[in-house]
Amino acid sequence: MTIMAVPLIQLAAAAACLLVRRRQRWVVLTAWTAGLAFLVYWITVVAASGPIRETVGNWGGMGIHLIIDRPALVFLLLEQLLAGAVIAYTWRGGFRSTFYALLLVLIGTVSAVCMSMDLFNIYVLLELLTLTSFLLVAYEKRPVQIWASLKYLLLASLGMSVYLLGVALLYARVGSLDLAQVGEYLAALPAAETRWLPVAAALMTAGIAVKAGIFMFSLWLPGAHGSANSAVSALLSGLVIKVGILVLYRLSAILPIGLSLTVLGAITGITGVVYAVIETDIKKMLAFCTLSQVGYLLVGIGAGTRVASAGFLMYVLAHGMFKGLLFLAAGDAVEHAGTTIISQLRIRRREIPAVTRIALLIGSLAIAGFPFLGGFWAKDYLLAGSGVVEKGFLWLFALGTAVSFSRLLPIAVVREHRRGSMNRAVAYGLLGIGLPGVFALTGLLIPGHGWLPRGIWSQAGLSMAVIAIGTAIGWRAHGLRKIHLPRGVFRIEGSIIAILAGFFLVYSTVLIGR
Amino acid sequence: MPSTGVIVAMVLLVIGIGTLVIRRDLVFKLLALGLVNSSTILLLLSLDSKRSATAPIVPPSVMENVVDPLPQALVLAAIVINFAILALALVFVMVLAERYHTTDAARIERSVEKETIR
Repeated sequence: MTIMAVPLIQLAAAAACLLVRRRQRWVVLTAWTAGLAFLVYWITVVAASGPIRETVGNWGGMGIHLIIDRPALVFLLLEQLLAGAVIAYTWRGGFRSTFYALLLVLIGTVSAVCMSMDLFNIYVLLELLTLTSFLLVAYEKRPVQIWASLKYLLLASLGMSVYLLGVALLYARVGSLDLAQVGEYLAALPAAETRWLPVAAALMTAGIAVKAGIFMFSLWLPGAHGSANSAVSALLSGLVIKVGILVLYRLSAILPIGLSLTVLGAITGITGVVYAVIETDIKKMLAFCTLSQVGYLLVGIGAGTRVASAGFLMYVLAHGMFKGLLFLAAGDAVEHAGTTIISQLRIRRREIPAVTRIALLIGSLAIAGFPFLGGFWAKDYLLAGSGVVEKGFLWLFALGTAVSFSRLLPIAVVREHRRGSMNRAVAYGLLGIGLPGVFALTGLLIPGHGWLPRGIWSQAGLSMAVIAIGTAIGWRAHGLRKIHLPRGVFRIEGSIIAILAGFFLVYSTVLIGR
Repeated sequence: MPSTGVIVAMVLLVIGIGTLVIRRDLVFKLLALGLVNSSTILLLLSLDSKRSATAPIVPPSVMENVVDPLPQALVLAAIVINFAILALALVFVMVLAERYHTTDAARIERSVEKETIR
C-alpha cells in the first residue's frame, strides 16, 4: 500500500471533521489510530528491508520522490506521540470542530514533509504548515494571539520566499528538484562551476531557518508559542519546529552547510537560554528555551559524525516529548493558578493538581539533562560525537537550561494533593513515561549504534553537577531578573533585519566552510 | 550578463524588503510581501527563459525550442499559495484594525503589549 495513504487519511479526516456535526474528537482518534498502525508496520518493514521508496506521478522514473528512512521514522514517531497527547489533553476541553480539523491538517502535513525528498514539494508543504499553525495560534482569537500569528505569517512567508529563491537558483544550474539527484549532480560538478552554490545554499538555509526556530531567524517564536493555547504550543514547539530541522538535516547531506549550522546552533543555544533565564512568564520562558534547545539539534547536525547523528535523532524525540509535556503541564498550571508569572505560580502552587506538578517536575528534570531521563541520553551521544569547541558549547547550554528551569522545581514541592482530570493525566503519561525509554526507543530505530555508551556513570555525575550548579545560580541570583535585554528585535522590522543579517552570516560561513 | 527578467526580479526584491522594513503601515507591509513573493516567481521563470523559445503549450510532436515546463508549473502553485497567505493576512489585519482603529504596526504592538500587562 502506498505510503501516501497516511497523510491522505489525515487530510481526509480533517475534511470529515468539518462535515460531521458532533463527535469530531472520535474522527481525530480514528485517524490517529490509523497513523499509529501504519507507523508500526513501517518500522517493521524498514527494520527488515531498509528504506521504503516511492515515486508519485511516475513518468518513467520522473516524479516526486517519497522516502521513509530511519530519520523519517523518528519524526513520525514523535508526531504520533505528541498528537496522541494533544488529543488526550483536549478531550474534555470543549474545542470546536475547526480546532480538530486544523489539528489533522497539521499532522497530515507533518507526515508528508517527513517523507518528502523533493525541494519544491517541501516548499508547498511548509507553506501549508505555516498557514495551519498561523490559524491554530490565533484559535482563541485573543488580540495578542492574532498579532503574534500575523507576525509569524509575515516572517514565515518571507522566509519561504527566500528559500524558493535558493531553489530557483539551484534548479537553473542543476535541472532537478529531487534531493538525491541534486546531491549526485553537485558531487559530479567540477569545483570551478560551483561559484553560485554558496548563494543558493545560504538562501535555502536562511529560508528554512525562519521556520526552524533559530534565534536570528525565528524571532516570531516567543510571541506565537508564548501566547497560543497550550495544546497548540506543545504541537508547535515539539513538532512544527522540528520539521524545519528535518529539512535542514536533509539539506546538510547535499549542501556544504555543516559549519553554518554549527555556528547558528551556538548562537541560538546561547542567546535563547539568556532570554529564558531572565523571562518571568512561564510560557514565554518555555518558548525561549525551545530556541536554545534547537542549538543542540543544529550542533548535532553540524558535527556530522555517526554518533552525533544518532544523538541528534534522539534529541529530536526527547525534546519533542519533554517540551510537549512542559507546555501541556504549564497550560494546566496556568488555568488552575490563574497567573502566568513563574513567581506567582510558585506562591499559588497549592491550587495546581498534583499530577500537573509532577509532570512539570519530570519535564524540567528531563530538559536539564537529569541522568537516565530523555535529555540525558541524547546529550550523552551528542557529546560523544562532537569536537572540543562544540562540547564546550553543549555544556554551556546545559548550564543555562538548568538555571532557567531551577525556578520551576519548587512548584512541585507541596504536600497537598489536589486531583487533576483524567484525560490530562493520560496526556502527561503518554509523553512522560517514554522519557527514560528514549534511548531504547531510538535504539529500536537506529540499530548498530551500540548499547550503553562508555563512561556513562561519569557522564551522569557531570550532568548532576551541572544541574546542581545551575540550580544554585537560579535560586541565588535574583539580580538576573533585573537585566534588560533588547526587545526591539521581536518587532516586525527588527526581525526582518535580523533575518537579513542572519542570511549574510550563513553566506559567509558557507564560504569559509567549503 | 543576466537577462532583463532577473534584473527586474532583483530590483523588486530589494524594493519589497526595503518597504517591509521602512513602512509601518500593515497594508503596505502586506503589499511589500506580495512584491517579494512576485519577485521570486519572476526569477524562477526568467532564470530559465530563452529569447526565441515559445511557451511549452504545444502538442508533443513539436517539442523543440520551448522553455522548460517545470518552472511554469511550480510558479502556478507558488502564486496560489501566496494568494492564500495574503488573503488570510488581510483578514487578520482587518480584525486588528477594527479593534485598535489603526493599521500602524508600532501602535498595534504598543496596544497589545499594554493589554497583556493588564
